Amino acid sequence: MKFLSRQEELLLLSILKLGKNAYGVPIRQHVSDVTDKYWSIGAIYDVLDRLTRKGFVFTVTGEPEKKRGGKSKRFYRITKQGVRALEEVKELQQKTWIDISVPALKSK
Amino acid sequence: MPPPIAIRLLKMTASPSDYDSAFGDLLETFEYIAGKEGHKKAKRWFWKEVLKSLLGFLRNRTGRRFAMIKNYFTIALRNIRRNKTFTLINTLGLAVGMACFILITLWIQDELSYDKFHTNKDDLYLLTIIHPDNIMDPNVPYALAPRLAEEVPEIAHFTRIYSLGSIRTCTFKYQPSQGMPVMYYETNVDLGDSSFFSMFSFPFVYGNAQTAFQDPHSLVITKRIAAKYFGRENPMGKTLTLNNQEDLIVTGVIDIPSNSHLQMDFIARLPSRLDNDWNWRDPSYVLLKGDSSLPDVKEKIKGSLSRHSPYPFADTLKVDLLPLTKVHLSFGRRMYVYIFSVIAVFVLLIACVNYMNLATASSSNRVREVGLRKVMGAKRQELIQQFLGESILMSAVGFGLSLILVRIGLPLINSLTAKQLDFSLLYRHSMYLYLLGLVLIVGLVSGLYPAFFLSSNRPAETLKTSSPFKSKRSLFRVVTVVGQFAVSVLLIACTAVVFQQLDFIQKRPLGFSLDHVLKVPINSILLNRFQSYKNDLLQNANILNVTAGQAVPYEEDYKTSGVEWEGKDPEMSPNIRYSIVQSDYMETFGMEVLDGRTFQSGSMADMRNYVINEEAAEYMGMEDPVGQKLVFWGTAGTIIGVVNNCHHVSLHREIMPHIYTINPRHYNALKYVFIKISSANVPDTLKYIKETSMSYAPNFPYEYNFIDRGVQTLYQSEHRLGKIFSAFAFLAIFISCLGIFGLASFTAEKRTKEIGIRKVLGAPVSHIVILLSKEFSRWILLANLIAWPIGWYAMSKWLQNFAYRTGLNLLLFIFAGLLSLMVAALPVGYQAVKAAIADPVDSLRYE
Repeated sequence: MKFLSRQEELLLLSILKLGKNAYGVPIRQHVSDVTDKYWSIGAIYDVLDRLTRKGFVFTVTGEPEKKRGGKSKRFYRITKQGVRALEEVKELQQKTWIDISVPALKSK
Repeated sequence: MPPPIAIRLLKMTASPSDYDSAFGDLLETFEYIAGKEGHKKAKRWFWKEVLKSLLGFLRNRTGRRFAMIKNYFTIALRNIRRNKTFTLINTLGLAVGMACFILITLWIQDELSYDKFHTNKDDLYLLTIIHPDNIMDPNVPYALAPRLAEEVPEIAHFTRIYSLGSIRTCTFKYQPSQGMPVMYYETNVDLGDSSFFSMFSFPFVYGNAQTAFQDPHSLVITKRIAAKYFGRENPMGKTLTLNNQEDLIVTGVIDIPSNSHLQMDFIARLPSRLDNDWNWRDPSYVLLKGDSSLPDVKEKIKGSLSRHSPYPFADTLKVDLLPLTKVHLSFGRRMYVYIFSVIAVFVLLIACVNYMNLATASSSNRVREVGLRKVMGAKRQELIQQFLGESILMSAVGFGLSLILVRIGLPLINSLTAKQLDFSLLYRHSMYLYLLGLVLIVGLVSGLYPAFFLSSNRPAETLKTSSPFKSKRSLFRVVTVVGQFAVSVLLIACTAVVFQQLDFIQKRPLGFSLDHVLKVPINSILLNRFQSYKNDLLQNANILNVTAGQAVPYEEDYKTSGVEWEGKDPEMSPNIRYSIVQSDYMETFGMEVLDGRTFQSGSMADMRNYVINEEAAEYMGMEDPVGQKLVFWGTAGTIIGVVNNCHHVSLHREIMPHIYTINPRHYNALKYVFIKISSANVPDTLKYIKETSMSYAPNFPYEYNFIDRGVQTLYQSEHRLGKIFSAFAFLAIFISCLGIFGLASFTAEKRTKEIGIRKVLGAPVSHIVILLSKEFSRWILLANLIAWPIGWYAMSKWLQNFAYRTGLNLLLFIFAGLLSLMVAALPVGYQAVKAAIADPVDSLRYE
């Protein structure tokens, strides 16, 4: 069984947090804020498409909007598999970090 | 609205399903930024966004097609493995072609980089004189630049370069606080104006540009010279004595980059007494103020020579400016840059043609694959992409190999071109892009035709017939192979002509003999006591003759118009070469006296007398020149003898009327003592000459050279051209042969059964070999017919550089043709014989 990649995890979590407002612009905004790094829209869509293909999210198309040049928003919603995949990585993280304390890291 | 080109780019890269939503997202943010920070900023942001998204989108799209690409790779690798010869020929050819191309790129880059390191490079100009026949002369009178600086406010600074070392012998002496003095003769000594270092930015090892030329006794030397005189000591403030007369203080050590056209070893300050000199000419440079308009300045200086120069002929001369960065290429070298660029492209094309031909010739192996792909729904576009991908893969492999070849080839190129090109020149960002472009372009050029050809097959036909191979595309193949060999033959012919001309030059009698003549630089003491020095030398029985001159006899390019004779047209401005020599000059160099006599040693009367050459007698229209009056630079005298015409300059130029004088008024111009020795006991004679010279002038360095060696240097660039041409000719024919080897093997393979049947029916081996080689021979003959006229035309142009040239011989071209035929016969013949001696049982068994 393959685990979620770190990028996928980040995006899934932002979709979860943004709830009903999870579409391209706020997702990128959120991911950029959290990681403090630049994310191009292309990079975001690359991961989003992968998540869609794997069935971790599904898309809902909104109404066309004038300020988007007549294009509609594409909202992302997390699926049950998506939630399960998140739980898996969280559990994995906790297990792997369990015996490691901050002083142990610093002593290296 | 965002920039439309960026939107199109987005549409091209984003997958169709993502495009709408992604575009909407971008537009939303675009409007937001435009409202907050302005439209311009938003546009820039949009561009940045689209470009940075490229990678993400592309990854996204290719991800889905990964399986197909993997399949392409598998098929490509299988084909490589199945056709080992094919692959080897292609990669080797492409590697050699690309290596050539990269090496020439490096060379051209170096040629184009000349003088670009100067901070003021865009405002620095060389003053030139344009002659009525449009010939550009880089030397202008010394008085010109100061006049222009007064007249033209746009000129910020000027400097003239006085090449002291080529006019006088120069010695430099360094006396350390203890121990022996260090002294040498130097030839590369220049004088410049005080503004020299504020105009040019040579990097300083010691000192700096501001202080280097403050004092009139300043001397700036190069790193190499500093090491030669001072070893590891700091040279700053040390004294170097010029010609045992003038103390100069080292105020700076510079490191002149190899891509500077100014390459002096020493530079000292130019005295201001030359400011009114309209006679002597050397290069002058000006620095324009940054905001000045070049056409205005050119207009202002155009007629300056006729305004100021005291000479009437100055009216016909135009003064012009040549940008500093163009100086290096402006005097003859640009032609070489063009020639080599063309050759580089052609050698690469030959390699690409190999790929095209082999790929189409072997298409039968792929036809079924293409048919099946089409049946399974592949679009033509996808097939083209697949084949282009394969050719780019091949080109990338060839590129890798070519880097190794470049590494090996660089030292060779460096020794051929006297440059110091380094492999690390490739480690630059601009170069990465260039090389990537090279790989892609080579891949595309060589793959485009095969890709269209292979993908054009109709699936029904290819899958239906049992033998899908049809040779209907052979016209293309004939044209390309003929083209390849035409280029090769052309290069071979050019090489042959260059070497024939060199041979002609070397075998042509110069009119004097240089055997066993050595030159010793003259100095003030040897000059003053020349007669007794000469007598002392002649004491030795092995020393045959002693004389002196202003240059070695094959570099006597000194011209004057200051000659008068009886019956001369007063309007005429004569153009005559002259040699300032010493008595016994003609004897030392074995020149032939046709009439009268030569200079008598010690004769006072002969000081004002002249010897002329045959050409001069004719030029001055004298039936019986001996005894006629002649005025040279104001000194009236008599012509006492006529000698044969000698080549006093390289054979690029004509023999001109020549006057020889031994007038002591001009003795300052003497630079060398010439000593003719017998071939017996040379080491002892040399030792004797050294001791005698040292006893006369112990304070001067002593050195000697045999002058016959120097003749070669006159034709150095032709020697280089010959070598480079032969290298390219070899590579071109090598790659062409690789290609024809592959083609021959495919033809033989296709006709295996035919050959089998012919043999069964009793055809002899020779018959089959001829059958298979006939077609190729015809191609190569056709290539010759194309190459000959082009080569004939190009080489007759090149030979016009020489006043004395060998005739173009048809035999040379026939030789080139035969050579190409013979070289091509090797691979073709090998394949033909292999096919012919094969056992027909093997080839016919499976039917």
